[in-house]
Amino acid sequence: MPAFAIVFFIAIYPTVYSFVISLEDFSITNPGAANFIWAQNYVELFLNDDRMRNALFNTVSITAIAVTAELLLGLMLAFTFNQNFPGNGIMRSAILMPMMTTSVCVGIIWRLIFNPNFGIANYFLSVLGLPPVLWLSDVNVALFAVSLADIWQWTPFMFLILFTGIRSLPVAPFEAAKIDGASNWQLLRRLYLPMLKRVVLIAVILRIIDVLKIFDIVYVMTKGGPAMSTDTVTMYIYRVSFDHFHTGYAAALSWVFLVIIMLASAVFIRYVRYAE
Amino acid sequence: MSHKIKTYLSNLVVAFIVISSLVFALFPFYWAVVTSIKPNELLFQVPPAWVFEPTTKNYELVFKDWKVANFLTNSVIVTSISSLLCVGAGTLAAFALARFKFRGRESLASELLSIRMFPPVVVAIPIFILAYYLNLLNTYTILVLVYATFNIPIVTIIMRSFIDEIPIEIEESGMIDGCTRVTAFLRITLPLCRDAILSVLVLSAIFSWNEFLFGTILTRMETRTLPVIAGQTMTQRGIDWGPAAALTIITAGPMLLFGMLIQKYLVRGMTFGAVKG
Repeated sequence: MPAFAIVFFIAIYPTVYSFVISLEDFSITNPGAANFIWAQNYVELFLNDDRMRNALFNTVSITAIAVTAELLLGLMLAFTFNQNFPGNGIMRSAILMPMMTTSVCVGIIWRLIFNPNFGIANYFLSVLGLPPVLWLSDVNVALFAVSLADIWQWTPFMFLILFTGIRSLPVAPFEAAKIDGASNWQLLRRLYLPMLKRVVLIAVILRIIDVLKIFDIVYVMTKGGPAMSTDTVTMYIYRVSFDHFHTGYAAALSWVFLVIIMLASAVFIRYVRYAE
Repeated sequence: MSHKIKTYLSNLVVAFIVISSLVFALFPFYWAVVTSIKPNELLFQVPPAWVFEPTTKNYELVFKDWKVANFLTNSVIVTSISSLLCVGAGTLAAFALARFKFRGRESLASELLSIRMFPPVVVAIPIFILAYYLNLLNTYTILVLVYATFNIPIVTIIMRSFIDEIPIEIEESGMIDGCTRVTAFLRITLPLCRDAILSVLVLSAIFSWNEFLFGTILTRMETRTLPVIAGQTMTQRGIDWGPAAALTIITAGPMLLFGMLIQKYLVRGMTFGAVKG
């Protein structure tokens, strides 16, 4: 199986190698001079690293904000587009466009929109009579601005999966419930949501795992600033390893992060199996 | 009467949601396109100039001064080779997983899936070092290998979900008529998967084309891909917005078109076969 050989070579071997590096004071600038320092990197990481804690907090915050919003908007859109109205198909295609856009470009486009001087977002606010917002340079707002870009890009994904899920449900139970006089709310709570459980679960967990890995958008929009308020774990690892060249330490950070993601994926695989 | 009002109201709600979601989804694209064709002197005007004489100056500048044609070529080369590679390898692997019973078959499938879960930045460090020692930094080879590797699991899993749906009896009847295992696969199963193969090809092309992190760390000027160049226009100060917007359109445009082509398979592709569309 050549496929497995390549996968092994490029994905498994580096992972093991990165664990070795994480036990050394390795630096890309001088790879020959690395010393074995046991678990010092990990001790440092767990005891003293405020930045990692901050990055982890930001990453979880973005994930919580974005995935919640995407789920709610996605559900709303899926039920809306489940109705019959003219132009449904073509409009459905149109709102899928953001999810196929290059993430870097999503970041650039939103940075353009959020520009403090001539950005269209502040213009719309001024039309509504609201004061301008420093979207990407206010420490209290930037995290939401970055989340908004992710929401824009990935709500279509949530919508698409949920819509597909709704369309594949059997018709009979809903007809029966309507004849028995069930209200729309009852239909939603007692029939749709329970029957969609598996699909919702898959969509949410895939999104959680993906947002935890968020990098491109942050890199382009804020580079983790202002004042580290949008610094994510991936951004932090990138900086430590490719700007400061503390490669060994970055590898240790990666391993801790990897374990977190692995746990999330394990939950994913188990839940999907369970739901089947 | 009250029923009529109710229908009317619910139609109104539907229309409102549909229209506002369309505006939210499409306005940013519109704005990027408008910025890329706006004359420079109107760019910073507030309130914005909605009507103006469009110009292609930014696109000319990007191709002439920023030599974007080179990066476009890099993107096309890396994307096409890595996609073909991973679809070839992934389809064979999917066939093996779907048709042969061997020990560890299921755990192999979930292992492949967990590779997809890897945050790229985690493997970026060792892959960078590996590329450094193998003298592969700043080559197409390393990008192709990395992209293919990251996409093989996805291709495998999606293709497996397609092959699982093709009854094995078709192959068996072919084998009774004198096909070998291999020719049964090549002549019978493979043609039946044509649409599926095309869609995973497009899907892996989208993933490779859009990739940013490895494109940044593994390349220098000669092998940079489009997203990397687009990302580099976002400096901390003094962004050249006109050309940057043009570059954004050039980078994102092709994959938007491709994505539209495979809409039918998008659900299965993006959920790695977990939800069938």
